[in-house]
Amino acid sequence: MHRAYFGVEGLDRNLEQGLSYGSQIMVEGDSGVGKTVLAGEFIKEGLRCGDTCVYVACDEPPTVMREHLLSFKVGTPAYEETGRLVFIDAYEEDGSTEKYVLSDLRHLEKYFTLESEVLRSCNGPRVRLVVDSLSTLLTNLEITDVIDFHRTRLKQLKKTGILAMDIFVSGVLEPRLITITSHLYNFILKMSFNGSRCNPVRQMQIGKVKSQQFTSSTHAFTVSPIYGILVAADTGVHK
Amino acid sequence: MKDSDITIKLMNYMFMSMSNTMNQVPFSGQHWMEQLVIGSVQYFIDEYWDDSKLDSKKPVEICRTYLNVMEDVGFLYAKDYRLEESGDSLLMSVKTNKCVYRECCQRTGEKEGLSFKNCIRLGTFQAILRHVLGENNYLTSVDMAADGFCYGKLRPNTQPKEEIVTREGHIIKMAGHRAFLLRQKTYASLMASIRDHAPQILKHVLYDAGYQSGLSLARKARESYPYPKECLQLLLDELTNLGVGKLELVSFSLSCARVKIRCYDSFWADTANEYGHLYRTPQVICDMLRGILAACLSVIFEKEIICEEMVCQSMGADCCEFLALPLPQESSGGRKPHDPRNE
Repeated sequence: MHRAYFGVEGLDRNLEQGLSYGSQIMVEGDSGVGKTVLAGEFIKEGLRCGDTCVYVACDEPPTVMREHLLSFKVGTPAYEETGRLVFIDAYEEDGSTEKYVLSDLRHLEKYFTLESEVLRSCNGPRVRLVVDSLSTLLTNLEITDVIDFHRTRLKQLKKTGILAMDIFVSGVLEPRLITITSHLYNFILKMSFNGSRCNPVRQMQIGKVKSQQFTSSTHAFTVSPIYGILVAADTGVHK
Repeated sequence: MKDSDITIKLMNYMFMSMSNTMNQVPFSGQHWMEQLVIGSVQYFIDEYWDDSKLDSKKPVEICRTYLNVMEDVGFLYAKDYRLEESGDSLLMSVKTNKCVYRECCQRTGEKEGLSFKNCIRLGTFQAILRHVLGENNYLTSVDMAADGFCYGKLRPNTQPKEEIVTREGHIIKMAGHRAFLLRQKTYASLMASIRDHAPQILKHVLYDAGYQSGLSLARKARESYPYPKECLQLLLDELTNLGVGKLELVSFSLSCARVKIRCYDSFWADTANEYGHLYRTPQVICDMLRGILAACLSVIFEKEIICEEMVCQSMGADCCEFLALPLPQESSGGRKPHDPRNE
């Protein structure tokens, strides 16, 4: 059975069994902490492993992720041409030149339909999906609608064996909604700034919600323009 | 001289055997095969050649005179060979069934599946040109065409081929630079050590090392082979001779700068299969070759090309397959990959 990894050495070392296809990861973090860099690593790893990767760009145009991957010497044109890398533009409603564009950001049903259509069209045996960030799509919506959407969508993703990473920007959604939502994911990765204002330290917690408790290990990390996310080797603290 | 002449047959057998043996010589077999041909022709030149018969020292005239001398001794008919100048190159054509070396070429090239593409006739021209003009080196290429003719080309070359390995006492040199041989096991342990101490750098180190070595290789080739496809084919042949695997050009589009290349028995895939995988999950692993190819194609197309390994033999595929495309023009932000034009 194929197992998947994030593509971040210090993080993957802690996932003895890796991730199974059909599981969902919730990434929640402060603005600028490195969520999109992590998404890039996840996609890079997927492409190297032969997966088909779908990236939904909600906060910036898809070109930003293309350039990000190119800066890490990932030739996106080759993967896009062969259908191994697919972008959904959920940022620019009008004037987008992308093949897949979300025409109305206010309707979760339309998003769900588009996402399902794109995932169905993926040829490869294994698919990774990254939504960056899902919280942008969920702002100003009824909490019950959001939870219904989550349940239906995640159930569908699990059923079809999609390895999904949903990104949430801290502070955008109500804390209650984040708490309820986090129960629906297999893995939760929280990224935050700690330390003093003059000397901020990036930190990530990876774990699961079990019996209302978030069981996690904590790791300090940095973001390198050459190597991406670098997790400090021996700073894991098991709570 | 009759075709059935046993002397012709024996000569062809001898060249076939030499070709077969040189095919087993690592790295520089083709070079040494050329040297064997040139060396044997030199004995003929020493005995029968007379510089005073030359009307001019133009390469085409030297080769014509050489053919006439060969006709005088009854070895061939000079009129069977057509010679003409094309810039500083010399073009030769001959009906294949008129060439005394055809049996050697056909059997070594086709039936026995050897990789030599040497034309012995062109080798004899190399010998006489070197004798008359001094140290001038000529590169040869030949196409045994479907129309029943062989089309050969000689062109001047000032650069040593990257693959030529020589020994001077205990010093081994490759293309004039000191080199040493590394066993696959040693390479595997070196990579495993990098992975254990600095796993995040492994892919980058391999890609960048490949890119830098590919740049120097490609620049030398480009000086001698100005035509992009021909230059790429030469580079793929040289890389194959260097032991990276058997490289095959699958498709080549000059207008789109789009190239697909396959590699059979990749060194890196074989190393993974033999000594263990470097990564947690099965994935493409020929980053060094990816870097080499990206650099070669960037030099050939004179723009930044990025190359991806789409499938890898280490993952169970029949071969590794690389797809190279230009860097998108709109790309402006972030840290760009290395641009060979900036050096």
